[in-house]
Amino acid sequence: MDYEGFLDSVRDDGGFRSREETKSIVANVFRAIAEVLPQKHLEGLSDQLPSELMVYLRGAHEEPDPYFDEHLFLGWVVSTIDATGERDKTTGGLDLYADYSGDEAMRRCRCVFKVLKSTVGADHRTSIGSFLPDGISALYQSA
Amino acid sequence: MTEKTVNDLSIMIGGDAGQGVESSGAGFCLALARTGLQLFALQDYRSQICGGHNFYEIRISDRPLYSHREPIHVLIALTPESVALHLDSIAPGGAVILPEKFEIDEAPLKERGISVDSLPLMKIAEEHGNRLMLNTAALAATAALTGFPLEYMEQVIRENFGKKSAELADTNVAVARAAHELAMERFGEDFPFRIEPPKKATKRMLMNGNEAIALGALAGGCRFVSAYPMTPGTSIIEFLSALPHEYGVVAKHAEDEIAAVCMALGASFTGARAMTPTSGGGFSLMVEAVGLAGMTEVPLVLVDAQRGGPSTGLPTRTEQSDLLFTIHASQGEFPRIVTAPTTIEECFEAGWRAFNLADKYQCPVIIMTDTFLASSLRTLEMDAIDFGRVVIDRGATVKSTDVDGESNGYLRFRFSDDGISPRALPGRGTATITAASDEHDETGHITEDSDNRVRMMNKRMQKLETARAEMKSPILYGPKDADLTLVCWGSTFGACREAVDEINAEGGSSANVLRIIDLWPMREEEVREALESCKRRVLVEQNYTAQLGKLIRMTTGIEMDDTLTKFDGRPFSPPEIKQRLGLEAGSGNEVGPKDLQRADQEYVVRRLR
Amino acid sequence: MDPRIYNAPTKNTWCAGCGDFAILRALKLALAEQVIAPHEVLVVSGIGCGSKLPDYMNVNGFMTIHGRPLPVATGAALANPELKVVVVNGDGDSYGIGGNHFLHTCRRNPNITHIVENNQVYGLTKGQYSPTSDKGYVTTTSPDGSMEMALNPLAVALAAGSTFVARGFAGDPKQMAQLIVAGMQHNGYALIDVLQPCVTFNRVNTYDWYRSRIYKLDEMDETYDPSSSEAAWEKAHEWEERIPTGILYNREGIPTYEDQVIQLRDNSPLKGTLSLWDDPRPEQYESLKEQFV
Repeated sequence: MDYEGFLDSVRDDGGFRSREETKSIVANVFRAIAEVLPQKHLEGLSDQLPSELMVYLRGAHEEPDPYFDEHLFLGWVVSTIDATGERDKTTGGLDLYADYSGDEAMRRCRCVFKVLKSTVGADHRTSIGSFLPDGISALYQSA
Repeated sequence: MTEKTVNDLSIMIGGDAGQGVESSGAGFCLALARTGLQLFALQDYRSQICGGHNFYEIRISDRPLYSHREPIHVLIALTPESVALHLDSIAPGGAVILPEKFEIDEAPLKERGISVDSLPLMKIAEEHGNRLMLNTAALAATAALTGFPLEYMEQVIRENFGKKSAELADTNVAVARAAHELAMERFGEDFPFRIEPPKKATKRMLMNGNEAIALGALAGGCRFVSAYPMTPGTSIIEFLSALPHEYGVVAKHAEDEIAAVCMALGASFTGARAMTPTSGGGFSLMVEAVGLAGMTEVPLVLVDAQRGGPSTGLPTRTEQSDLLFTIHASQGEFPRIVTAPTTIEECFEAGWRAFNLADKYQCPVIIMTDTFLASSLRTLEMDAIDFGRVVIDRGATVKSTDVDGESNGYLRFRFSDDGISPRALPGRGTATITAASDEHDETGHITEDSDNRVRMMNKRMQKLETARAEMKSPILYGPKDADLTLVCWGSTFGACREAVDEINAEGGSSANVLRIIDLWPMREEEVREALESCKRRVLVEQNYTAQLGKLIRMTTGIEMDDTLTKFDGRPFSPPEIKQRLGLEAGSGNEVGPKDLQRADQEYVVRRLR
Repeated sequence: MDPRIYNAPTKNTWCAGCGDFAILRALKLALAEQVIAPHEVLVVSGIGCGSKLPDYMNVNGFMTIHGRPLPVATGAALANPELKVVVVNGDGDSYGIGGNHFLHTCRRNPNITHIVENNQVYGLTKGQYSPTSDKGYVTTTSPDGSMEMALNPLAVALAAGSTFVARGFAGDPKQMAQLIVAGMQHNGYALIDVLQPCVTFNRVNTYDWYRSRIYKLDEMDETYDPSSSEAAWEKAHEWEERIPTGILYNREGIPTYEDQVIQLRDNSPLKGTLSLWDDPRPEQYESLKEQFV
């Protein structure tokens, strides 16, 4: 699958507003994967993923941080949800954007994971899942 | 030759700030007190280090004094301005002592029979020492004028200057002797207002309210004090800072009052008895943290030594205008205790008692004084500061060993009937303690649950009712049934007390004083009952809006019949109160000490049940 | 020690993906590594999202008021120097409303480890610019872009005399835990400014924004000398293009404030009267009256 095809599949699946938004979601999920995927596992992936996506994985660490957890992973994705510029209309406690942003970020991850899993071969499909933090790994498996 | 008056006079030293008015006044006080005389000394100064008129007023007697009093009998004028400013305060037959070459208009003084004695004091100071010793020369001349033996002054001079150098002490003594000799030649024994050391020199202390609070706090186990300098509260932390290290009092001069109160709060949270003294402006900055202490139930002792407001106001002058502010300070509702000692003895008691109240009710306790009480000196009997009376009560506590292994079982904010949750300390057992400025549950963790909120508010506020039972009842001074009752709080009690003593001694109408020490929570029913039986209630307060009157009306519904307020920054004096009551009986000085004894009765108004 | 010992049963209310989670985790890891029992540590916070942190931990916790945790912690550390005192608060709390306390705590050097959750925005009040927001940053209170220079907390700390200055990144929890350990082992005040994206209200300074700029000082330059104030000063001024993380400055051997308080030395009365149950010694006091005679 080429880059445009990848984006189209994610956008169709998630019902995202624009190509730009989809691009940002895909980029951030991939950058988050780069945080946990040891560098040596990038080898072989380049045959299966378009170079536009491999760019996001370039930041992978030799030894990923062992304490990088699901909260951090989601952090990369939550920041793709548009929430700024609105005046505070709540009474101070519950913020509607913030309260649902976790669910929305997980949905976004799932959309990207689904297309990613269908793009890479069985070996990589399994190994990527094994490097993801616990909660995210479960999400990946179910995608 | 007029009749002599012995040991019933006031001496004033007036001069520019920087002329040593305060230090020489304090030295003279010490010399007088050591002979067994009783004193009341008032400082009056401006918020300037150098320049600006200053005065120090010393009232001398054989009997205990509770106030300063007009008129003055000797004015030591170190500047010509002093004469002009205090012209009207000088008693007929009094004297003005001033150095040579001052150009003043003597006519109005001479008209009133006041002698103006220009002495070559500067010349003496320069001959035997230097210009700075002018005040020493002037005091020695005053001793000669009034017949006070110079030896007591010499002893104090040697102590005070001997610390710096023996030579400095010698020259000061030389200056004093020369001035004394010269003045003796000039005055002989003609001056009608005399000072005679009593036959027996009773040992007494000279102390002000701040020092008494600091001593009380120390004895009450205060081991942490944090403050930002602010007149007139500063000398409390200065006193505690100067203590020998072995007393173990950690004193922290903080970057601002917010830090000061927060440091005390942090120290108290870990278990130290902690205090933060300040004045109204500093208290304004502390207000948010007072609410924090209320919410997190951390014991906290604050001192608001009030001064003239609003804002910078009259920085070195007295006022009682923070009462309603302290009672209501900080957002939201939480229990607090406000107590206002009326005498130096009560300042000592408030110093230790405040810590017991703070620990027992786990809330902020505010001691209120004012410039007048905080910084005026009075002679006190040695047993007036009675360390044996000090009680330490740390309230309901849980021993650390009892909560070991109960990390989740110990409830710092456990609901209880009296509102008090036994306190354990962080780091003193294996239980962990959480406190939050947010509403919290019994464990201290944050919750906005409605039921919990209601129960927790009830629990906290119940402490106010529990504490009320321990609050001091209003105290009546003077005859039980009187035509007139002066109602007061704080430092005005001293002047009220002397005023009613004089009124009662003069015959005609009778008067008493009702004072309220514990202002919040107040013994409302007792205050109501005490006031209801009064024939004429006159409120005496050092503020504009009659705040105690408002508080009494708010809590008891009782209105005052008359109100005497004063907000010029100068303390009430007994003659001023009498005059404003329309009871002035002449010049104000004819009430002799012997006539005053019968009014010396004091009893507590207890609720009859 | 198992870091789970510091877990509290409370419900966390941070936004999903919040960098505070990583700071909370790093603090637990750092405490576990030093084998500090929950009752031996006091975590003091102010007000803000990140200041809820003590609520999510089983330790002694004091959530105070906005801007004031440093003086509260100083009082606690002075009254009981045996407590390990950690302050956790945000950039608004530390550098805005609490700025004065920050300055004076740096030069005072109490034995406190200060972790600042610096997300360059006010989160709890929903997205206003903070003292560390970059100039031009658009928020609800800066619709035309912030017109103020961002505060440089590390340079300020150095100038104010802080003896330990470090920067962490919420995306690198392992390094952050190491920095917290180093800060707590440091005898004196230790500032650890943590770059922490606000995933809800800061769309500029995201994980990606930081990741593409930060580098670890010790990895980049093995010869970097954290005892050099000149080197630290230079590194503290790197921002925009490249942002260093790690220990910028660490000067040992400076006595803490507590070290200098004579009243706190061994067997001082403070230790005796600290507990709720010891009485002070009244017989000492009587002699004090003599100074008034």
